[in-house]
Amino acid sequence: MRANVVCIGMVRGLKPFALVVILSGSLTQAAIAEDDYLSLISSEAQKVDEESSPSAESAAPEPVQPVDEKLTMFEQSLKDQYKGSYFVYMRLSDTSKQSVYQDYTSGSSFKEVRKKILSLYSNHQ
Amino acid sequence: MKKLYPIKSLLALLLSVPLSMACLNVMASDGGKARLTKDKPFINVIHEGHKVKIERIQDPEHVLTGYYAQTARDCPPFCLQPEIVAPGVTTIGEVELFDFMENKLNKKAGVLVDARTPEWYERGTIPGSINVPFFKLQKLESAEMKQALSRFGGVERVDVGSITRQYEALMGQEEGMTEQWDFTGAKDLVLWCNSPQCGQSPRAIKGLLAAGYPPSKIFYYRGGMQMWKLWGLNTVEPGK
Repeated sequence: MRANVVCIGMVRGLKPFALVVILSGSLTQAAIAEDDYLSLISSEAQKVDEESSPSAESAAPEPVQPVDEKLTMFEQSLKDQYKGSYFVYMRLSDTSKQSVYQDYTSGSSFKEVRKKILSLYSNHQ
Repeated sequence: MKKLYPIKSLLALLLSVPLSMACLNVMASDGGKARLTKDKPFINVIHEGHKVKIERIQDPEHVLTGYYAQTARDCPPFCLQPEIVAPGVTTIGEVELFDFMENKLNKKAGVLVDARTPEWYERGTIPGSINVPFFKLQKLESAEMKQALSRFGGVERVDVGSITRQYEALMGQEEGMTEQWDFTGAKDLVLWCNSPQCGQSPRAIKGLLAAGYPPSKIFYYRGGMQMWKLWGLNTVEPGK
């Protein structure tokens, strides 16, 4: 209570000039806080580029990779000879496609490859 | 009878292949298995004058990575926002947002507002959004605020006679009317920003309310970009 009385007394004792200085100071502080917020938002936005570019971010386009001619030939052969299997293969995830292709390059026949495609597809159903 | 069995199997196989192919075709044309809702495989919106299909990533192995996969931000300033941003303002989720896109946005009766600063908007936005950064909705008398309010369907009241003023002072103003603005024909707005930890759209909403925009016409998509991406929903980069 005594503290309040002292505070009121201090405010009453202030010159108008001092009040203007105090008020403008608080307004400046608010403006600085707003600027700080904007700059923090801005620096946060830079993090989106830093952290999403090397990894496979959802809607971001796939990073450009050198074309594997053997893979293209494998997919073309599958398309030409086994349209159904190719259709299912195209619906597999990239990881599953890689796994199929790895089997093929390590000597699996088309029969085995087609079996694997169906098995991977049905596992995701 | 035993001899017929392989023929039957062969026939069944022959029949099942085109059938399963047809099913796969339907799935593919239907937007895949991960649909927006039970009834909506996808929806289209107009973004910068072009039709954009909104759908979910179909890869079952897809996981969120990068910035939007982070769970912690410095608080303050990036603190969790309350579910209710202001009295009378409705908080919505993705399903309500899809409905808004179909029933309001596509019929030009609503505006989807990306309230983030332009540098965020440029890095990708929810299709159909326009960028009105929150700081443009802070100062009541600024030209930017007036431009935004007009864009949202507000009408500035410039030539109001003294009799009307006196009548309003006596009887009170009609809902959606302020001394400066007529919001009776204003559009429904959905405002969003980065995530439930983002304060940009809540600030924009508070700015709109201070200008007298009716709270019943303001909707807050609290999940924002983080939740949008979590569900594998596609985004667009402006100008591309």
